[in-house]
Amino acid sequence: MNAIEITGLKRSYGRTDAVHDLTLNVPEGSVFSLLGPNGAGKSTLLKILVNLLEPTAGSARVLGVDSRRLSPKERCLIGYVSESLQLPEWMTVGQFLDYCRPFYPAWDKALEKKLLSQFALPLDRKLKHLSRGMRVKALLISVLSFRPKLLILDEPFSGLDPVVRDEVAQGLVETARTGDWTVLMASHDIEEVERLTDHVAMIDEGRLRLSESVESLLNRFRRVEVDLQGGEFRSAAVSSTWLGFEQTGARARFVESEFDDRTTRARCESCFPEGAVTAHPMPLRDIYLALARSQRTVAGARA
Amino acid sequence: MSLVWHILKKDARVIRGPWLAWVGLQVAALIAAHVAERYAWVDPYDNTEVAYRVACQGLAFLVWVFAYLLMPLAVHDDPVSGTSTAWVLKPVNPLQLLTAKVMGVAIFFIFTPVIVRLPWWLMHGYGLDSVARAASETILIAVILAIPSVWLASVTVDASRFYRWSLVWFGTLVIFYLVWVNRWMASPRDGVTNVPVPNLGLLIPVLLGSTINQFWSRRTRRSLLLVGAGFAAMLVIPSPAVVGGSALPDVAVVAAIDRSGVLSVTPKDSLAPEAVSGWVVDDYARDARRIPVTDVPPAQRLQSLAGAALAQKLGLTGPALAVPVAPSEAEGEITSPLFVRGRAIRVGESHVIPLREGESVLHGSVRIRVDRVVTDFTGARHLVAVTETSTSVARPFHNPQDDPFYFVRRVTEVESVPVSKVSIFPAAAVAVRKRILSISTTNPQASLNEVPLLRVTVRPIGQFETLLKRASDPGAVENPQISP
Repeated sequence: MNAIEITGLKRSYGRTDAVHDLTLNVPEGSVFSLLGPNGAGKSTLLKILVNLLEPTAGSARVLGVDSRRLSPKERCLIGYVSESLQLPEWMTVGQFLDYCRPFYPAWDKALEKKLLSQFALPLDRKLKHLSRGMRVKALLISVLSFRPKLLILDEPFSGLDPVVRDEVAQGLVETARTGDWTVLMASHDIEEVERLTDHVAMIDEGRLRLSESVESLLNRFRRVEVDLQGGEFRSAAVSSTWLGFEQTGARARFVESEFDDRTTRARCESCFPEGAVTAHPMPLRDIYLALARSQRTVAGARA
Repeated sequence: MSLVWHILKKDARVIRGPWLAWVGLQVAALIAAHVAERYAWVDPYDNTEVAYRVACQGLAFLVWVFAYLLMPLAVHDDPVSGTSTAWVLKPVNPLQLLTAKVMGVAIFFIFTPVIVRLPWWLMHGYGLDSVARAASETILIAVILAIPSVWLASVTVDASRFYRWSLVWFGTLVIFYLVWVNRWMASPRDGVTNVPVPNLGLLIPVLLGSTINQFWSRRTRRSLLLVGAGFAAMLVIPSPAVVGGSALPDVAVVAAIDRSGVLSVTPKDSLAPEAVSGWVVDDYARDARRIPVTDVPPAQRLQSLAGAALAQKLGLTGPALAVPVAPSEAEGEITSPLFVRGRAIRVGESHVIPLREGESVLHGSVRIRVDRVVTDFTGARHLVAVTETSTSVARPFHNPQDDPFYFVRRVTEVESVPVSKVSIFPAAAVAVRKRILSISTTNPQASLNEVPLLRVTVRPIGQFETLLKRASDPGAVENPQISP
C-alpha cells in the first residue's frame, strides 16, 4: 500500500520543466527522502503533492486522493512543513498553537505539551522574535500535534545549527515512531537523511534518477581501490557500473554502483589482472556525491 | 460555524489597532462637521465654517481610502494565494473561510460607518426613511470599495503586493478610460460622438466570481484570467449609458420622429454656463422653435449639445428650438421626495426613465413654485429632473432627502426650473414630442430622470428671462426666420 503514488507527473514553468515525467511511489509507513541538487524540482514536487501547485500533466494521489482534490478531510491527515513557510508574525507561539488547534479534531494536546517541553519553546514569545530554528520547531509542533498520517517536510533542517538540528530530528523520529506515519522529506542534510529514512529517491533536473531503500543503496555501492602493483590495466574492460573512475600512477579508484563481492572482483580481475582490490562501504553522503558527479559528467558529455 | 467564529475572532485581533484608528478618523470627520455647523451663518466673513467643512470632507474621503487599504488585512492573515504561507494548508472548508472573511469585512468596514454615523443622523432629525437611505448609501459605498479590495487581497500574498497592484490597477483604469473616450470621440458613429460608458457594472459579478474561485480553488492564474475575460466582456458589451453625447433610442422611435425639439444647454467642455448661455442665445437660440426632420438621417436628428447645429445642418429653415439654460441663474424648489415606479430617485443614477401614457407617480410628489408662466404649458406632462446630492455622499452629514433637483424642464416646450442649490451643471437633451430621447451630462454624479409634471412654477431670471422673451416672440414662434 502506498501513501503517495505519482504517475507521469510534469510541472512546467514556461518552457522549463521543473518536474519531468516523474513516476514514484512512497510506501505507507516509510520515512522517504528526496535528494537532489538545488533546482532539481524537489520543492515543486512537494508543493504539487499538497495542492499548492497544479501539475501540468500526470497525476499524484495522496492518501488515495488526487492531489488536486484534497479536501479538508484529507488535509487533517497531512502535515506540511517548508523552510520557506511564512508564519503569522504577530502571534505568540501560544496564540499560534491556539489558532491551529480547532482545525484538527485529532489534535493531541498531550503531545503538544510534550513537544513544547522537548523543544523548549517559550509560549509567550512572538513568532517574529523567534530564531529560525525555533520557528521550525513551532511549525513542527503545529504539524506533529495533530498526528498526521502523512508528514511532508521540505528542507526541515536547512540553516539549523547542529544542536537544534539534532533536537528537531530527534523529535521527528520519536514522534513518527509513536504512530504509523509516512514521512516524505526533501533535504540536503544527507547525514540526517541517512539517520532517519529508510527510502531514498534522487531527483535531478526534474527527473527521477533512482528510488530504493537506504539499506539496498548502502549495500549496492562501494568505494573500490585497486593497487595495480605494476601489472597491466585493460581500459577496455572498465565496467559501466563504475562511477568516477580515476587512475593515478599505480592506483585506480572508482565507485562500484552494483556491488556484489564476487561479481565486482571478477570485473576487477578482467581490468586489472594483477591488481589488489579493496572495497569500502560508503556512507549515503558519498553515494549521493558519486551519483551527482556522474550525472553531471553525463550531462556535460551530452552537451 | 465555530470555525468561522474562530477565524473571525483571530482576524479581529489582527486588525483591531488599524481599525480603531480608522474609527477615530470617522469620529474626527463628525467632529469637524459639528464644528462647521456651529460656525455656520455666524459671520459671513469668517471662514471657520468653510475650513471645517473642507476638513470634514477630506477626512471623510480618507475614511474610504483607508477602508480600501485596511480591508485586506484580514484576508492576508489567511492568504488564499501564494505557496509559501503556513495557513494555506489549513483544513478549512473554502466556504467557511470565505464566510469568515466576508463577515469580518462586513462587521468592521461596512456596518461600522453606519453605526458611527447613526447618532449624527438621529441628532439631526433624520426620519426613519432618511436614516435608511443614508445608511444604504454608506453601505453601498463600502460594498463598492470592498468588492475590488477583497478580490485583490485574495489574489495577492501580502499587503505590499496589494498596494503595488492597487496602483497598477488604478493606473490601468485611468489609461483604459482615456483610451476608451479617445477611441469613441475620434471615430463618431454615424456622425454622433457618443461615448458609451464602459460597462463597469460587469466588473462586479466578475470580481465576485474571481474572489469565490480564488477561495475555492486557490488558482490565482485562473482567477486573474477570469477578471481579464470580464474586462474583455466590458469592452464588447458597453453600458447603455453615455458620456458627452446622446444615447441612441431604439430605431423605431427614431424612425417615427417627424419633428424635433432640441435643447442645448452648454457645450460639455464648458463649466461656465453664464458665458456659454450668452453665446448660445446670440448664435443659436434666438428664433428657432421646431424643425421638421423627416428627411434628416436619424443620427443627425439626435445630435445633442447642438440643437442649433442641427438646425444649421438642416439649412436653418424649419421651426427648431435650441434654448440654453443656465441652471445657476434660475430658482426653484423641491418640497417633497420624488418616487418613480415605486423607487426613489437616487443620486448617481444616469439613465433616463421614460414614462409612457398611463404611468404615474406612485408616492410623493414634486411641487415647484411658479411665479409666472412664460410659455403655454397646456397639455405638458413631462419633466426632466436632474438630481444631485446637496453634499457629497461621502460626507457623514449627507441627508439623501436634501438632494435638490438641478433643473426640471418640460420637453415639448422649454422651461427651466432649477432649484436654489443649483451649481454649474452642463447638460443636454434631445426631445421629441413628449418623450425624452436622450439626455447627456458631463457631470458623473448627476442622475437624469423623466417624471410626470405635477405642478410647475417657474421663476426665470437674468439671461434666461431675456432668452424666453426672445423665444416667445410671437413672430419668431409662428413664422421662424433663422438667419445663418
